[in-house]
Amino acid sequence: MTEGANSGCLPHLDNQDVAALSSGAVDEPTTDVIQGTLDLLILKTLSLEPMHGFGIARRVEQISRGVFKVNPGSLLTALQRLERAGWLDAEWRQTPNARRAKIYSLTRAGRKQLDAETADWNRRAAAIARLLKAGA
Amino acid sequence: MAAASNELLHGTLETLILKTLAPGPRHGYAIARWLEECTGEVLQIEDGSLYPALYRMEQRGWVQADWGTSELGRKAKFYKITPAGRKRLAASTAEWSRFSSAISKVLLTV
Repeated sequence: MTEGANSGCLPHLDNQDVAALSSGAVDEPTTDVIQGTLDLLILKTLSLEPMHGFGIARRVEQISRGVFKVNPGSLLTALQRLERAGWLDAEWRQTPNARRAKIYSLTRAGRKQLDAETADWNRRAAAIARLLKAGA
Repeated sequence: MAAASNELLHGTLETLILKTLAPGPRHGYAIARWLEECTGEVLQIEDGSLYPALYRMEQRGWVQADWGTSELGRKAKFYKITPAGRKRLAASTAEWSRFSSAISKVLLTV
């Protein structure tokens, strides 16, 4: 963290903070994916290849090594919303185990949205990380 | 787009507020301005999210609020982080890094 331009706004951890950090007290991990983030994860997953809903959930859980559990209800709502926004195409197809499933794919607009949301996420995550690391 | 971003922030706002209060008490307005300044205005803190968050945090015993006088001589509620709040800050900072590195992992997949 650079102490230059922003130095006045960087807090410093005092001894109590350090004690709290080293105690390693971590609550129940939060595994619910926040809505805005879920959209981003869905768009990203579909940019790899078209997939059905269950496949998206499984892939997100896999890649994040189980940090994210995707609630089926939230997933369905998100898919409907993204389809309405024109970011996804949905098509009924036969799956390998001979079942019919709705296969989602990313549209051109969806790809643009993914790029915009990825840039936005990176900007925000970097700002938050900088802030939380200040003085640590 | 903007809506999605605010929701993204939602889960981290409390952590950021606790971090802001770690060096000493501040009033609500100062918390918001400090966060915006320190993030180069990447984060916009709306009053409509800030004050409900402060209220929730007060209920949970993470911050303690006392009336005082602001630098402009106005009455303002000053928020102070409690020992429980400091514990929470440490825990949620760890959660945040777990969460953000999981997102990055997904975003970096090709």
